[in-house]
Amino acid sequence: MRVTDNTRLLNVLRNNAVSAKRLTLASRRASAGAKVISPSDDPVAFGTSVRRGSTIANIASRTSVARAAADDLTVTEGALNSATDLLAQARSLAVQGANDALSPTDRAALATSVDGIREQLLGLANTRGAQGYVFGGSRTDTPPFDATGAFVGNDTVLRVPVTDGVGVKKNVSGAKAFTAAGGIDVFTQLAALSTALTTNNVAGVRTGIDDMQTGYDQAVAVQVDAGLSMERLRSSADVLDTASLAVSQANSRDIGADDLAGLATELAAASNSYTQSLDVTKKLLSIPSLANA
Amino acid sequence: MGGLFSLLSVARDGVLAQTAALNVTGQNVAGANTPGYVKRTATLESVPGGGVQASTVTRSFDRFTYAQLVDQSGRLSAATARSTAISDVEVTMVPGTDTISDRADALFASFNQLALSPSDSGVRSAVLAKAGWLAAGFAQSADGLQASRNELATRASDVVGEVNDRLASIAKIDQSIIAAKARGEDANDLLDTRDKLVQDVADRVGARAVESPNGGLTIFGGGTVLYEGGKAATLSSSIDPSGALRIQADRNGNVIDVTKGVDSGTLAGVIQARDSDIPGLQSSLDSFAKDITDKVNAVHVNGFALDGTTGRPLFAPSATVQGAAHSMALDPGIVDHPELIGASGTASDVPGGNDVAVALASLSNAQLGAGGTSAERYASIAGQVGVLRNVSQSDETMRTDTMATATTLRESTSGVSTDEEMIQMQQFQRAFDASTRVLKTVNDLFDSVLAIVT
Repeated sequence: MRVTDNTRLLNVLRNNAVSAKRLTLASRRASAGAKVISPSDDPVAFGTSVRRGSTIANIASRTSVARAAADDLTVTEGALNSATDLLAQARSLAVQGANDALSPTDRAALATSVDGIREQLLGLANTRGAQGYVFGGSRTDTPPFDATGAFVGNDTVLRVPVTDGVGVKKNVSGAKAFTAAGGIDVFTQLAALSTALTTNNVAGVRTGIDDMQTGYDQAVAVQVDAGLSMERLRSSADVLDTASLAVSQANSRDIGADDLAGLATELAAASNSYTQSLDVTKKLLSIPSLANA
Repeated sequence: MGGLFSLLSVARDGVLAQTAALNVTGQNVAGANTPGYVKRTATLESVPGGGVQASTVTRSFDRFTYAQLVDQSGRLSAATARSTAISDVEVTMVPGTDTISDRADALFASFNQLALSPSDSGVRSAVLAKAGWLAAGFAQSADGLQASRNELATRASDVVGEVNDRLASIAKIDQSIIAAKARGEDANDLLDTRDKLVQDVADRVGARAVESPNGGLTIFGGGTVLYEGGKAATLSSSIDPSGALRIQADRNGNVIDVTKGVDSGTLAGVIQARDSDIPGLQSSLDSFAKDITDKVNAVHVNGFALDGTTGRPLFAPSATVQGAAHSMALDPGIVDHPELIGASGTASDVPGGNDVAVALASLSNAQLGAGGTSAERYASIAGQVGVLRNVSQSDETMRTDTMATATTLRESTSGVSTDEEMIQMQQFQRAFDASTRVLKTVNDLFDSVLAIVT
């Protein structure tokens, strides 16, 4: 075949363009730290990466929500812990008050302490967390117990989405912790104990011992419920973290982001190839011509 | 004496013939890089009674290689036009950040937060913001695709104008060539220009030229005759009622639709990208937008707002699939009213109830219509774009290679080699020098003869 000057130059231009394109691609991949950056790099791998990216984002969101809900339950659990302490103190005061040797004056003094405990317990029953009142069910915007100790909340169970189809409880029942729904109405019984102590009603005080024990038990039961939900939320978050890591690793592998050395090698090879292509071009352009003779 | 005069005539013919040949060499060197220039060769032939003359100047033209070049040029232009258009579409549909999938993920994350804090006004505002951001993402992508189609329509109009200009030029030049050939004149320069113009037409609309015995051309393209006998068709582009490009050819007042016949040249690539590739993506995007709108709304209408009302959609419902992405937006009744987001499943559970918020959050992994989850739907569209770009790039690369081969073949037959021209120049120069030497010798001989006579 007859070869003209333009044939040679066109070949040189074409080969240089191919080398430059390869270098550009390698540079793009190396700077992005992945082989698959856009759909055209590898449509299947990119699609998988989109799905995995969405999974990672969803996991991150649900992990965050699970941990926040667990933190809220920490507040609830703390309030119940304090409540059980107060109910234990109330029972102890009732036991003291049931002592036959105690004078009416001493019992009246104990009644004052019981009234203080009731007030503190009312405060705890109206504890607010990050999402509002923690013992009011879905009525998070108003105190679940009024000044008389009457329950004005509801018993709605609130859940947060942790995994598909599985919602983990993010609240506990204030009704079961402090009202007859759980055994006794602690505020009514504390008031009754106070009255028994004030009126020197030893039989009533003795009844109060059992009531305080029942109240203590029902608060502990709800505290355990809070602890279990808290633990479940935290363990779910840990599982999600592990899953997220696994999905991230798989994603890195699929888009070639786990082989930075490979990307650097590819860039170096493309750079060498381009340099060599330019060298060849220089040599071809410096081939003597009869026009220069 | 007659012998010396004859020799003088022969020497003069030699000088003139070598000068003519050197002139052709000069033309070749000058035209070496001129697009469409075909190498010339001066034909020297003996004349009766001795001597030489430059009889003709022939073009080193090969119809087969030229036809190959014209054909491949059109196919490369089509592949390049399509590849360029799809390249733009890839950026529109799959930007580096804040893709539709990212935005959908952000919305679902905000639903998760809403499930955690259904009465939090900040969280509610974030839900509205993310929903609006997702809707804007769909609308921007849809608008970007439509803008690409509009730009391609403009490009088609420009290309059609360029084709008409070239066909008009071809008509003039073709008639000049026929006339020159009839007069036996050199029409090589006109032929170069005409061949280049035919290649220009092929670049734009695909063309095949057939030469008649009188030297005139008939040019076929778009499934019709674009030029014949001094009359060029006039192409026009318009948008048909379905929104597709329509290319028409007007031949002597007879207007025919040639859209389907355009299978090569820039116009073919533009038509394929605009009316086949992009509409497929628009359809997928619209379907995705409609499904996600319907799915979210179907859950949200069951939710109770902080004021206890219910039955409100989050997104403005779209009546049709077509245009759903472009028109996707927050429902007007909920704009700037985060308190109207329905998170609770019952009025009595307001404000802490979160059943509907939990259901909304669960949509992240729910099937949207028959096409999979939100992420799967977006991945499918991204894959669709990726495959289109891959196919169009591969086609362009393949056409670039075949065009290079066609160019090499054309150069092989019609290209100018500087070295060859330098050798020929030396050859003609020496012959010229020799002829002038003969003239000098004849002159000397005349001097000698005249000296004897005088």
